[in-house]
Amino acid sequence: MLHTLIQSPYKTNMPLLISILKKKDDFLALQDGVLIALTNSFFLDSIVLSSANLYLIKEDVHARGIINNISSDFILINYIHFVSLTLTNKTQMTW
Amino acid sequence: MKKIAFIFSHAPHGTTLGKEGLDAVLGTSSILKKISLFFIGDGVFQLLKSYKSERILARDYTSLFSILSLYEIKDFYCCKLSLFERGLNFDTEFILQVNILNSYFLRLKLDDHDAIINF
Repeated sequence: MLHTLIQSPYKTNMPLLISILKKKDDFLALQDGVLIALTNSFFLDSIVLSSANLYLIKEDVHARGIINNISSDFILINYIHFVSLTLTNKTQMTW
Repeated sequence: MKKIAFIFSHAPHGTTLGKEGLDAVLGTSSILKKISLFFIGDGVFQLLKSYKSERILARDYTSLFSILSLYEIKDFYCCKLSLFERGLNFDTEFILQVNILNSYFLRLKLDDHDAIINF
């Protein structure tokens, strides 16, 4: 399953999201969702512990000026890669 | 003369609230001189030096925060807990000279104002 986080994690029910996340799931954060990848941030440990594949949209990270504060557990991807994620996953869940 | 507090609590570019708030501050400054800005929650990201918002086709309005001093607006406050929750700290480079306050002192500062406008 592909999970997409569009809102800031501070506006989302993160405990619920993390409880539903399974190993080998793809988790993609975009728009304000990219804030979840900040090093030493509140939600980072729990999302990394979920063992899902973690992705971020590169453009949104650059736009918000946080490119140097991003955890290396996340893979920066572009929109083309986003499309391939939607193709490889049978279902998608938007948070 | 009334004192107005403008609160920013959203990250830039994902919503237009930050830009609207800044426009409101500039508009209000022509009528009132006693204006303070507060950055809490995700609003602390408004203060980061964002260089590449054109990559999501958004105008980089955040650089306009630095011209507020021309309007004699100099009172900027930022919530310490919000910074730390988001992996930022005192060493982070901000576009404004902000006073970083803990929740107690931030609340005391807010109580100094006659009106609060939240963006």
